Amino acid sequence: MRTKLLIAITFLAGCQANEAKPIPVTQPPAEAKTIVAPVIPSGELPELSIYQLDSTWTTQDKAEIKLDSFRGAPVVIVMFFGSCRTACPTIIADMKRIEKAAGPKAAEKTKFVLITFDPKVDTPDALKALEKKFELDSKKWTFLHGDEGSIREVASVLNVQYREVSEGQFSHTNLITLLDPNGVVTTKIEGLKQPIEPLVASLNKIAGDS
Amino acid sequence: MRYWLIIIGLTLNSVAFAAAPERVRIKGDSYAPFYPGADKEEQLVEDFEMDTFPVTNAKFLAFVNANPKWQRGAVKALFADASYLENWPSPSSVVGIENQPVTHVSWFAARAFCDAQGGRLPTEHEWEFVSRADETRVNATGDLAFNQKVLTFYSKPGSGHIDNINQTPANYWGLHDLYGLVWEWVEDFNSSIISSDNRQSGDKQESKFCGGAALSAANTREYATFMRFAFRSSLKSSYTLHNLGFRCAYDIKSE
Repeated sequence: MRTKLLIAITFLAGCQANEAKPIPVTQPPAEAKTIVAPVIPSGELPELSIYQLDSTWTTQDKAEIKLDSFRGAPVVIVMFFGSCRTACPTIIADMKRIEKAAGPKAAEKTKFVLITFDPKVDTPDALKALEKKFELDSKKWTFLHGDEGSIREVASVLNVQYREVSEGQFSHTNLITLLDPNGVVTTKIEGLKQPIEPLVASLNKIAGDS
Repeated sequence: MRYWLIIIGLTLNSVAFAAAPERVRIKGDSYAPFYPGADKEEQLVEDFEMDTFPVTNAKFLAFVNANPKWQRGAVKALFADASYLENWPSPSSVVGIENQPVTHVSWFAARAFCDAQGGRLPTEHEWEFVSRADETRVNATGDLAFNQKVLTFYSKPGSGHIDNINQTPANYWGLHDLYGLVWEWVEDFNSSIISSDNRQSGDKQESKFCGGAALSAANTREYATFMRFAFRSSLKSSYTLHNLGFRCAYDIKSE
């Protein structure tokens, strides 16, 4: 009874806030069908581009980069932590399924980005070890290590919620997000082992495969 | 020194306000958080400092003037939605609402403000730790009357009007207005999922939203606390709400 009441309160609180403040809708990407050669974006970023975040990250190869260095390519991005033995392999497997199902242009261009929640444990070296373990091509797959504030920030724009529930263990939303070449969120897959077709369809469209 | 100048600048406010320090030091301790960790009941909160009052429109205007990219109309949609500072008479005026808590600010804007003061947003643990106090006790959450008072505030329908700061007496720590005026941003507002973790793959809705959270709360009597967690979990970092403000926290510099 008490639990039910609590749930009711929560829904009320959540729904009120949601009603008061509809989620700003991302403009759907322009139809790509008529575009022969995909346009390489330039100039000012769209207002909802996550590439406006100014944070600096270290890759598994110890390169210092900003998120806008991915500009120009479609990006499949997730947040994860390496010491999670269950969700981590599954989410990488889901990303590999996307890579495999993508059309030829998409497969060539798409970048796969994994941002860790756990900068203490998932050092660049540890991330490099993960890349090797999962046999990922470092030209396409980038692991990112950043400070806690930067991680919190990027999680907030990807709508990933997470909490460190004990030392090195994180409770988090499993979300695979497709960013268009300007860093605007396009399609998401929520949860693990979900159908990938809608995301792959968007990806192919962005890359000029369909 | 700077603080006193600001306070002198706000001479029309009450005597009690002028006498209150700009920020207070919080002596950290272990506490039992609303959501206990997986392997521990207690969470350590380190010593820190916190603003005595929520940030006012006047202070936020000074920040905006110094940082024009945070002006209403100039901010990009990723960082603040369309109602950002919409209650201000103009993008560069807060006439008549100087001493009200600033609201209609996004998480990004609140963060940028605190950063400019050499501070940061408080963590959820820090905010929850200090908000357990009433005027005399570090932790009053076991007291039904205290919980009822907080709930009464949370159940007030938002009329749009917000009073000036310094409406409530200082709590044990010397902090005012943690309850009664506005909700406040915390740094990790987007951590409020959820008992279901990465290992669970059951009902997505239940694991992602409210129900899952209810089942893991440590003390189901703390409805008020629960409402804060529910509220936070409904936010996005670009949201700007008419009843959501913030105050800053500061690390203690080692001497």
